[in-house]
Amino acid sequence: MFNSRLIYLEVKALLRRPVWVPLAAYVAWLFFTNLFEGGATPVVSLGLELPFLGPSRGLFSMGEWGRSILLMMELINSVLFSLFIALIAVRACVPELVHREPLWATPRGGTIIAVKLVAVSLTSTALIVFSAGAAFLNPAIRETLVMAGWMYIPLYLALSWVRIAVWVALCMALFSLTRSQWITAILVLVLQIAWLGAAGIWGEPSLLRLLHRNFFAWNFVDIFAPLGVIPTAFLLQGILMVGLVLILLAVAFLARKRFPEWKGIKPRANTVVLVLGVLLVVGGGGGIIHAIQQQVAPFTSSDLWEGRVEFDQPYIWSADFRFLAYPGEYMAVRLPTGTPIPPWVQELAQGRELRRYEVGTIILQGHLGEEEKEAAASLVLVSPIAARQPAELTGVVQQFWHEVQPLVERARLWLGEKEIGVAVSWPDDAFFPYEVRLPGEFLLHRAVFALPPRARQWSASAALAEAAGLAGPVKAYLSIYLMAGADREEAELGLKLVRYIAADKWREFVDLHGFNVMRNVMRGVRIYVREPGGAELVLHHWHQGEALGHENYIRSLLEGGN
Amino acid sequence: MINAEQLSKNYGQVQALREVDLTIENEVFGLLGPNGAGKTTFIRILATLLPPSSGKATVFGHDVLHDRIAIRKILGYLPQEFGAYPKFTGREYLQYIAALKGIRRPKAEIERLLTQFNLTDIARRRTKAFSGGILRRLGIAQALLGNPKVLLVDEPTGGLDPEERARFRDFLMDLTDDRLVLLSTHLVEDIAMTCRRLAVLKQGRIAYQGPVSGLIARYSGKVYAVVVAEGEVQQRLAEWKGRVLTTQQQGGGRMVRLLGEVDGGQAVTPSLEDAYLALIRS
Repeated sequence: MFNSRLIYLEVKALLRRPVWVPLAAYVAWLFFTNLFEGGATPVVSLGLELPFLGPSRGLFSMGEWGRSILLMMELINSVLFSLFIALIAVRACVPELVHREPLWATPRGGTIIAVKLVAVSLTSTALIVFSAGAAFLNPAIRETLVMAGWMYIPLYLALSWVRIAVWVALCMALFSLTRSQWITAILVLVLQIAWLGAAGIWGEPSLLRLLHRNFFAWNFVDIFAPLGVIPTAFLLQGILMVGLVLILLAVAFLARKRFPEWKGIKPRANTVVLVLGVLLVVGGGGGIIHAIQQQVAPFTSSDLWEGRVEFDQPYIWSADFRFLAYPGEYMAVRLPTGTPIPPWVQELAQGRELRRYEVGTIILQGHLGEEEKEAAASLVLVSPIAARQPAELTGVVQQFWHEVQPLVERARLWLGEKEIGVAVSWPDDAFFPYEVRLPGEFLLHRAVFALPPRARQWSASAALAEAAGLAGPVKAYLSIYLMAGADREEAELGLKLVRYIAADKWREFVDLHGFNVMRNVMRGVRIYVREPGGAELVLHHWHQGEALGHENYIRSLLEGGN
Repeated sequence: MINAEQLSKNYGQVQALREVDLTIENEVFGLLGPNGAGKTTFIRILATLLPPSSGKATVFGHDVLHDRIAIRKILGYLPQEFGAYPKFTGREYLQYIAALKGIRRPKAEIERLLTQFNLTDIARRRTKAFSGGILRRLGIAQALLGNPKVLLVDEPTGGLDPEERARFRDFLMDLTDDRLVLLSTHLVEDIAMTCRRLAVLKQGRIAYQGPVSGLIARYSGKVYAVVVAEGEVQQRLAEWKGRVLTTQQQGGGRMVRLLGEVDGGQAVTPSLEDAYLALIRS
C-alpha cells in the first residue's frame, strides 16, 4: 500500500515548508535546555547507563531516553507540539485538496492521505525523538529507577509514533471538515489541553485518570511494572490508537463528500477502514477499561486501613484508586499491623523469599494534603531468593549515599555520632499525588529517587539542616554550608539566589540560570528565605560564618540558640 | 474503447449531461462544445473522479463506477485546471505521479518525457515558479507517464502561446494508433488539426458524433460569404441575426460568413468552425 518513494517525496516537500521551522526551533530549544541542565556549561557524558557505584548493566537505562520522548508528548510540551504538528499537517493537506486532479485519477490515489499521515507523523516523531536526545548526553537529567533496556526502545518509538499519528489524523479530519487551517490548529490545541486537563495531573484519582495513566505509562518500564501498569492494557492502548487513526482518516475522507466535486464517491476501502477503526477502538478501549477494572478492588483504602475488609486478591488499586500493590518480580504490600498475610501473597511467595517488617506508624496523605491520617502498618516484601531487592535499587541507594556523604560529614557538628540511614519506601505511586510517608524528617522523601543528582543533594541538605532544630533562616544557612562541603560552586549559586531574593530580583536569577536551577536550590533553602527578612538573615549568618569560621559560628549558634 | 450509454449527470437541479450515447475507438477523438456544455463532466466521469447519476460508461470494458482502479491503471489524465504541488520540482512531481501510478523504475521514462516536452532545463525548479505554458507541458508529461492506453486531455491548449499550441497539436498527431486520446476543447482549430472524428456536446446532449468531414458535409452548400461595406455592417448584421457564423476584416469592409443564401453572397466550402457554429446555433 505504502510506497517509500511517495513518503520520501512527501517528507521532502514538507521540509521545504517553513511551517515546520517553529517545531524544529522548539525541539532544538528543549534539546539545548536539557543539555545545559545542571550547569552553565553542558555536562556531556555519552551513554545512558546510570552512574551507579556498583556493577552497572551498561545500556539498561536506554529506556530513559524513550521515557523522555513520551514525557515530551504528555506534559505541557505536548500542547505546543500538537499545535506545531497541526500546522504542519494541514499545510501538507492543502495541495492535495487544491490539486486533487490528476492525483486521484491514479491507481494509488486513494493512499495519498495515508502517505501524508505517515510522512508528517514520521518527521514530527523524528524531531521529538531528537528533543529527548539530550538524555544521551547529560547525566544530570537522567532519572533513576528507570530500568528499561534498549529492547524497549522499539516499543517507545512505536507508541510515540502512533500517538503523533493520532494527532495528525485528527488534523486531517478537522481540516476536511472545516477547510480552515487555523480553526483546525486551534481545535487540536483545545482538545489536547482538554485531554491533559481532564485526565492529567490535576484532579481526584478516577477511572479516567487510570486510563490516562496507562497511556502515560509513566513507569511502565521500571522494576515493578516491566511492561506497563497493566501489560495487557498497554498493548490494547496501541490497538485503540491505531483504531483512532483509521477512524479519523475515514472521517477525513467522508467529510469531503459535502463538497460538490466529491459528491457521490463511494470508495469501498474507506468503508472498510472506518469499520475496522471502529472495531479496534471499541475492542481496544473496552479491553483497557475491562483490564483496569479487573485490577480495581471493591473496597476503598480507608476500608482496608480500618480493618473492615481483607486484601483477598492482588488488586493494584483500591476502589478510590489508591495504589495497593503490583505483583511483579519484586512485590511490596503494605498492610495494617496485625493483619494476616493474604493467601494470594503466600501463593506468589512460593519458591521465593517473603519477609514482613513492622514499620509502625505511617501517614497516609490524600490529594493535595487533604484527608491525612495515621495508621499502623507492616510491610510485606516478596523477592527472589537470590536478591532481596533489585540490583538497581541497591545501586541507586549507594549512589545517593555517595552523593550525600560530604553533607553528612559536615552535619556531624549537630548530629554527633547519631546513626544515619537511608529509608527507602517502595513501591510508590509516582503518578497520583498520594503519599505514604513516615512521621518526622528524613533524608529521602518519596520523590527523591526521581530527582536529578543536584536536586537530591539539596533535598538531603535541607533534611540534615532540619535536624539542627534551629530557626528557619539558620537552617537555610546550614543547608548552604552543607552543600559547600559537596560542591562549593553549587553553594555559591545558592547564595547568589538568596542575594537576588533579598533584592527582590529572583526573576533575574531565573533568567540567568534557569528555573530548574532555582528550584533545586529552593529545595535546600526552602521557604525560609521567602519569609520577611529571611534572605537577609541567611546572608548575615553566612557572612558571620565566613568571618569567624563556619564551624565555630555554627557551634556558637547551637550552644546559644539563634 | 470508451462506451457511454444513456449517461447522465445532475448537479442538484442542473443537468450537466443528458443521456449521452457515445462510442470512441482507438484514435484521437475530439470532444467539442461551448463552455458549460458538459465536456469536463464527461471527462471526469471517465477519469473515475465523478460518478454518473444514471446510465453507464466503460473504458476498455471496465465500468467507471465499479472498476475504478482498473481504469486508473490504463489512464493518463490532464485536467482542465492543472496545478502541481508547488513545493516539488518538476522532476519530483513526475516522480511523485510515477509512484502514484505504481511505475517501478521511472527514471528513464521521466528523463525521456522531460526531454520530449523541453522541460529538462527547468526540471530542477519548483513548480510554483513555472509559467502557464510550462505547467501545461508538465501536465501532459505526467499524463503520459506509464504509457497509458487511454489519454484524457481537457482543454490542453488553454493559456498556451501559438508556438506551444502548434507543438502540442503535433505531439497529439504523433501518438501511435494503439492509444485512445480524448481531446476535450472549445477551440475548433485544435480539433480540426488533430482529429478525424469528433462529438459535439450542446447543453449536455450529443448534437453530433461522427467524422469531422461528416459535420462539414452536413452544411455543404449552405454557407455563404459576402463582403459588406464598413458603413453598412451594423445594419446588415442586425438584418441577418441568427444566421451569421463569423465576420472577418477584408479590405475596406467586412467578410461575413453566414448560413443560407443572401443577395450578393457566394456559396463557399464550409470550414469546421462554420459547421460547428451552425450546429450550435441551430
